[in-house]
Amino acid sequence: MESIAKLSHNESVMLFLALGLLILVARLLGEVTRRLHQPAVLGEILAGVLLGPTVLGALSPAAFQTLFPPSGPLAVVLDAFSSVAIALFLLVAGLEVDLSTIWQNGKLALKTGVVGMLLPFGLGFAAVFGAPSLLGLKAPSLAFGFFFATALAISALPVIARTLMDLGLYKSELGMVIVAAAVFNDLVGWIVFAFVLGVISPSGGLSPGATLWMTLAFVILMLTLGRALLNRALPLLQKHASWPGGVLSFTLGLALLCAAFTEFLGIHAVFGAFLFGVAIGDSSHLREQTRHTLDRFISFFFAPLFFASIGLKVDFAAHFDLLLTVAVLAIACAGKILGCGLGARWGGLKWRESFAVGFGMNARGAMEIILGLLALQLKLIEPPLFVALVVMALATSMLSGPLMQRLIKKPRAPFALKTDLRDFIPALEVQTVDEAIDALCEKAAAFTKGRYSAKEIAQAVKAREAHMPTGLKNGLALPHARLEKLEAPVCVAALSPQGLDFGAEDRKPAQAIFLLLTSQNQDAIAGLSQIASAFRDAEAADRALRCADKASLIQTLTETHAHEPAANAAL
Amino acid sequence: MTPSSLRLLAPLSLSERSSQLALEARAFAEPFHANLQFLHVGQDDAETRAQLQKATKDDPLQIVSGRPAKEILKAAREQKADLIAMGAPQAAHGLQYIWTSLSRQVAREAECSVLLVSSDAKPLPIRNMVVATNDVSDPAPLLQFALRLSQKFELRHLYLLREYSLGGSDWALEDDFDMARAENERQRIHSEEEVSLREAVSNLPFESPTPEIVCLRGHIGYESLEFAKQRDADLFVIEAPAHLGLQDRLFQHGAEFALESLPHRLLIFRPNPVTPG
Repeated sequence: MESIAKLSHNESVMLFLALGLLILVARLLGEVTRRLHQPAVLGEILAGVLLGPTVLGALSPAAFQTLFPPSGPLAVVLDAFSSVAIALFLLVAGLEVDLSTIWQNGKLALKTGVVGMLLPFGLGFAAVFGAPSLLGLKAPSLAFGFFFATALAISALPVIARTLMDLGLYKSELGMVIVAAAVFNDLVGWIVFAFVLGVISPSGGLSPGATLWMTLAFVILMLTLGRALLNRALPLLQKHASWPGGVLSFTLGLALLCAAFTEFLGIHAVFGAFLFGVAIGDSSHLREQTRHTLDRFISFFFAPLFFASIGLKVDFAAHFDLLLTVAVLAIACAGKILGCGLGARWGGLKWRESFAVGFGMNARGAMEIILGLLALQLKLIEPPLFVALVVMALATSMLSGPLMQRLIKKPRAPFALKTDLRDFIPALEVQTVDEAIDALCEKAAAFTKGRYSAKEIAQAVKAREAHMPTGLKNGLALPHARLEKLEAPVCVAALSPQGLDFGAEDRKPAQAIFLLLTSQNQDAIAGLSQIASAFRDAEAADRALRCADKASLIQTLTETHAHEPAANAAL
Repeated sequence: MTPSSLRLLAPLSLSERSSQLALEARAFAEPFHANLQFLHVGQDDAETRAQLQKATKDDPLQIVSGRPAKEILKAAREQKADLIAMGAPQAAHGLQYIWTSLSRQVAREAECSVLLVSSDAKPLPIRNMVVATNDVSDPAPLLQFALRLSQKFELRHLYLLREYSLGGSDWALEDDFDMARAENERQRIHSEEEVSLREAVSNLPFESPTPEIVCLRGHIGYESLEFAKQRDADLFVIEAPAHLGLQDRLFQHGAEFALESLPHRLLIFRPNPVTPG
């Protein structure tokens, strides 16, 4: 007992060396995969594969055994780090679950979520009991059936949110339905999985029945009384404790206590942390900054550590089974795409949109990997199925966006400053708003292919201006009009050194005036919000006001939007 | 629709507040030349009538017997009321809120708009109005309604809010490991929301006072309520969500935040099929 009560000097050195290497290599490969527009988690898992039995273990078994021994005190400590990391990761996942989203989006989201869970669930069961050999099973068990069904039914909210943002659909009606259905799937999926764990591994001397009842009571209490109490406690804490230390310690401390309770029940610590995250994340008093701080702290340190440690546990090369992987991928995709597609159709969407929802919801991401790892630790599944689940999670996350995009009629590229800013007047020498509009319309008329005269444009712009002034913060004005016959948006910018009163709320005279002419509402919203967004930051606005030519103005305004979206960056 | 086609139903009880509530009802009825109908659920006898008529004066009063909430909702339906104006206890916390009060039950179940006047509401007139639109429903009917209110009341301040939520996006944005880009993305979405509200507002002839457009991110219903409280709004107008059942009280959103902690005057707007907008 003495030998495992304390780490030896050498083991302490190895512990810090192993943790340092894991974080550095995970980060490095995470960055590489990001550059390749692939999810960072792929690089993080690859780091584990490199440092684990698959590569380092094969090349230098002695080095691998020294750094990551399979047993002994160092292995126990590394495993404990991994357990804490996974619990905290699920805390952040819980924080993202906004329960009211489900009710706000009504029956369509609920139908999509319910059928999107039931069909993959049923298909999972059918595969386990109908074709067990396909999944490498000798004798299918009910517990395995429940696990596999849940693994197919779950989805990954962060990947889905990211995909929708990349496709510009996040705030669309379709996007909000998908997010709400994913919230529902996440919540129900984890609750079902907790029950599965309760049945297969009750602990603490509790019977499976007692575990199930206590789990149910814990879920209900956390989502009702727990939420209400946390909602009351947060303002008090924010008022009386130092910020952010007070709230962060409170959140992390209670999350770990909840994790301890569910671990005691035998349903794994992650569930307690997740449910606590849901309860506190739903509070309208939880500050955005607190969420960000927690998220960064966990994402930058614990998440890479956890994902890299996955590769240490399994030899991916030795356990890769192509047939099994293809079977799991096919069953998972068929169940989710059909389930969510039919649910959305039942909810009233058209077929094409319904299946776009199905493809969007098909992303499994990190949630699937965590589920698989827990099942592996409980010896519910064998390493080949775990490897197949990891591949399926990564593949569905990477394919979700492109497949969804194919199904949704790609809208014509919305307004882009680079192409649609046609002309620029660096020093507009006029005295009134009307004169400024006239001068800008004079320039704009040249880009309407003769469809509109400067006078006609000015008339439309002034009529709009008369309805409501278009002056915004930081010296920006956005006079605009909708002209039906325009083929493409026309934007003309001018800088007015003395400034003109466009009725901005901050009463600042407008020094940057952007005239925007569009034929479609979508272009107008996209154009106006792009320019307004660039001017929200006073420093950026100041830089724009010093531009001397069109090219530098475009560069200044677009540099904040210049990054290419990394597909599925968040898993 | 002629102005006189508007119908306002004002339930009154035999309480000290009856006169104040009758004044409130008239304050909403008169500028719209609305047909005002007072309603009392209880015993119909001479004493009750005499007591209520001190508040209702010459306006029509109907007395019916039965369960108050049921009778009020029935009368509103039968009379095709556009607005029910009634009093409400100020705040209802905990179980009281979950099990609901008469006024809150009417607010949740009515098919038309409902005005709840808090027991400690600031005295009339209405000078400061906050109207909250959200990213879930089309803001046009509510904005048209706000325009009509602003034309009828001599407002000093009119705030038009847009609330939006970014559910599930924080993790997605933060995990990009590029804080500047995450912030840009949030700002872009914020600007898009602001611009689309501005565009919706610009289609309507708001005159004086010029409405102040404000965009708020967070829990739909909660952020606008906090804003209305900070501005000490005389009237807070919010759109009724599709449903306001028990589950909405348990997992609060939209109008439920305001129903729990009632501001001075809360108007839950529902586009009425009889007299739209």
